[in-house]
Amino acid sequence: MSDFSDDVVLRAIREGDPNGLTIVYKEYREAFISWCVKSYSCSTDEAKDIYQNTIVILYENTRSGKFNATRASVKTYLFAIGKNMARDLLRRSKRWVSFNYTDQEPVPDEFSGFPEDDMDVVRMALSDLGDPCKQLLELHFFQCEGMEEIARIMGYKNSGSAKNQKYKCLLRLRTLVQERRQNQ
Amino acid sequence: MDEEERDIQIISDYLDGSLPDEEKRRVEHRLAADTAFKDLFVEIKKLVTGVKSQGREAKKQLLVEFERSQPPIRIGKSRSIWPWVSGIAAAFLTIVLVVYQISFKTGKNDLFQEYYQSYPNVVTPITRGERLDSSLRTNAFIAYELGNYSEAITAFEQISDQSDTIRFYLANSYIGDGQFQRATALLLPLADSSSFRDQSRWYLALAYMKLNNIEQSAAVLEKLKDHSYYGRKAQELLDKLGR
Repeated sequence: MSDFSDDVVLRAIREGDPNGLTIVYKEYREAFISWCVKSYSCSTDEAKDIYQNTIVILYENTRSGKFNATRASVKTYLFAIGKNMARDLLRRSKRWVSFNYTDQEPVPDEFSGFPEDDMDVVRMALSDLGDPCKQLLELHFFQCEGMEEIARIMGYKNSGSAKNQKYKCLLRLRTLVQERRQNQ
Repeated sequence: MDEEERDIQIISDYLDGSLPDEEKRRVEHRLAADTAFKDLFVEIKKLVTGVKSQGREAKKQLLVEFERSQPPIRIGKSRSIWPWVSGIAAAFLTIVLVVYQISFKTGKNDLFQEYYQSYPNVVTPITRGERLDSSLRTNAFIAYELGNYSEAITAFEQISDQSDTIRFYLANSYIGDGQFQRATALLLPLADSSSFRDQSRWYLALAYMKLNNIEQSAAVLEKLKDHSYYGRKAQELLDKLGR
């Protein structure tokens, strides 16, 4: 019997409750990992890795509004993502799965087509960029937070200033990526 | 604000879905007709995708940390309509497996001994009578060459510039010291892309074999089959592993 209903879990994630992620992780952890080990003959560590990636996808799709409990239960959704990920693992002959998505549903559709090297450069440039720009871009593009909320969290005057800041940060990130590429 | 900056704003708004429908269509039209705009679009999309991937990694790290505080997983047994039949079958299988593994393991250990030779020090050749500087790097390679692997590990680990070369020799020191799990963790990325790719694959395959991870070992050896130097040995090993 579940301690938390889907609504509670999803609301926690949507409202940015830092415990949302760990609540849902704990909730299906044992069932998912046992199922993954038994169904796909993977090791417990591999199953944990798949589960962690799966939870992050659930988090991202809940934040962006692509997933809500009217479409399917959280459990069904998690196992559907897990199935794709485990198949991907088998396809790669049990090699390590980098944190990449397959082209099957239900995974974020933007995450395909770019070589991992390109992503590494952006990640390094983001680290050069540092906060508050890094935080702002992550809040907006990954957490799908609106400009008003970002202004509140980060102390900007209003959503207009936050939006303006977002553009500036994106331009700065672009310059840093270009510099890193030139130095490569 | 110049035109390019304005375009970046439009693309950013398009990507986060905040652009009104009419402007969205305009962007799509320009994407089909204007190559420079399309290049800029791809560039900005890459940035946004990178930001997302950074966010995912951060969340994943949080879960990896959280996992450490969790109790071990009990993998449940599958139900059977004839529990006593499956019990007997399981007991029989266990006996077969144990016997098989004992003979198998011994065989794999012999194979490791037969094929393992430490990788030569080709980085800092040490010649008798030569005056050596006492840098960490030199000390590490001396210890490695003399087979003092635990000393080599300590020295290699302290080198701040962890280049592919240093990581490769550190991994080999781990193998020499019998720390195969650590060796595989280091060799795995080197075996994908590094100046020591093929050498790393060879030692990775041997380390996996020592860990009795035959599947992984064979998968790595398969990649070496056509190599000019390691190819013959890889094929021999695959044959001996029954692959």
